[in-house]
Amino acid sequence: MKESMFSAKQIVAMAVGTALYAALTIPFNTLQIPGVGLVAIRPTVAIPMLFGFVFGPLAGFVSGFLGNILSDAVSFGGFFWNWDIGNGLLGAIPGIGYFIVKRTNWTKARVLATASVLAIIGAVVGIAFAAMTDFAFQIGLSTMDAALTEFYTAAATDAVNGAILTPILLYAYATATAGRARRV
Amino acid sequence: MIRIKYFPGTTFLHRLDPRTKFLLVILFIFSEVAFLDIRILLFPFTASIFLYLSARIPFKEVKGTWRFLLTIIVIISSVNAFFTFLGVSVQHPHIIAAFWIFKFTVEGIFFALASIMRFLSLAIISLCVIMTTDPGLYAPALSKLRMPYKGAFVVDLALRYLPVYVDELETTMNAQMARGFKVKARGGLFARILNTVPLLVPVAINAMLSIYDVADAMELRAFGAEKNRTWYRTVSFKPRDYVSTITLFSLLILAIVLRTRITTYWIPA
Repeated sequence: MKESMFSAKQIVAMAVGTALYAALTIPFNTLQIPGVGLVAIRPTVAIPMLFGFVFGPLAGFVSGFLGNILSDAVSFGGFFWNWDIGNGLLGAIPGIGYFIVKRTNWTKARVLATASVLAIIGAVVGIAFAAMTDFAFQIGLSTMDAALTEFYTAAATDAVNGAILTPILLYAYATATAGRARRV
Repeated sequence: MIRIKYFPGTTFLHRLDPRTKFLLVILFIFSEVAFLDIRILLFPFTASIFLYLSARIPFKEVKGTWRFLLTIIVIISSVNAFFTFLGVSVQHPHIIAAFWIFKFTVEGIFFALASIMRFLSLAIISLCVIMTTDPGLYAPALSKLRMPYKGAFVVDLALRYLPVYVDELETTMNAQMARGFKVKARGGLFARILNTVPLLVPVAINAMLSIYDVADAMELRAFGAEKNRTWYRTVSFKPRDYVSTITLFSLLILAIVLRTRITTYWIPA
C-alpha cells in the first residue's frame, strides 16, 4: 500500500531534499556555462531526481523547486520562477519510478538503468519547460535560437549528470538501508 | 568557509516579524525582476547594504560567505554580460576593446553593473533574513499567513537544515581531502562528474537516513493526527511591523508604477 503524499516521512523528505539540494548546489553555482544565461553545471541535479525516485514525485518536485529558489537566492541573489518550476519537474519525473519499481529491487541493474533513463527524461522535460518559458515570457532571451541553445546546453549537462549520479546515489542509498527497519 | 545561519541579536531587523521580512524579500525580488536601470537599482542596492549593516552580523563569522558571494556574482555578471549581452539588443554598440570572440562595450559594462546590483541586493536581503530570523519562527509566521501547516513545516525544516548541510559538506570535503581527494579533477566530463561522488554520496545518504528518525519523532508527537495545529512559539505584529509593512507596500506600488514607465536598461548619453 502506498503511503499518503503528506505523511510525516514525506514532509521531512521534502524538507531534507530541499535543504540538501540548496546546500550542495551553492558551491556548484560558480561553474557557469558561458553564453547561455545563468546556467551552471550542477552535478547536484541528481538530488531531486533521487528524492523523486525514492520518495515520490511530490518530494522530488518540492526538493527541486524550493531547493533551487533557496540556492539561487543565497548564492547569487537570483530568482527565476520558471527555472524553479523546471527544477521541480526535473525532480518530479523520476518520481514515476516510485510507483513502478519495487523498493527491494533498487540495487538491480534493470532498476538502476530505469533510474538513469527517468533522470534523462526529467532533465529534458524540466529544462525544456524553463528554456521555452524564458523565450515565451522574454526572460532574458529574445530569440528561439537563443532558447534552443540554452535548452541543448543545460539539458545535456543535467541529463548526463543525472544519468550518471542518480543510479550511483540510489545504489548507495539502497546498500546503506539494507537490513535497517522501516528504511525502504 | 560559507556560513548561512541565524545570528541572534536585538537589532531592528532581528525584532521584525518574519512576515514583514517576507514582504521585504518580495519587494527585492520584484525590483530584481522588473528593472535593469542602474539609476533605479541604486535604491534597493543601497537599502540592502544599509539593512545588512544595521543587522550587525559579525563580519568575522561571514567573511567566507561574502568572499564566495562576491566571486560568484562577479563571475556570473561578467560571463553573461560579455559573452552574450543577454536580453539587450544594441544596433551599434560602443566597443572599447575586442579580441577573438570577446567584445568589451560600454553597453556591456553597464549591463554587467546592473546585473551585479540586481543580484547582490537580493542576495544581501536573503542572507539578512536568514541570518536575523530565529528558525523557530518561520513555521508560526507561515501558518499565520494561512499556509497549510504541513507546507509551513517543510519550509521551516528546510531552512533549519540548510546551514547544517552546508557545514556537513565542508566537513566531508575536508575529510576526503585528508584522504587524497582533489576538488578539481583532471580528465574529461565523466571524470569530473564522478569526482563529485565522494562528496555527494556521504552527505546525501547520511541526510536521507536521518529522514526516518525525524519522521518517527514527529509521528510520536502525533504529527498529522489533527487537521490544524498550534505552535509553541507565536508571532505578532508590533507597531514597527505595521509601519514597515505600510512603507514596503507603498514602495512596491511605486515600483510597479515605475515599471510601467521604465522598461529598459540605461546607458549615459
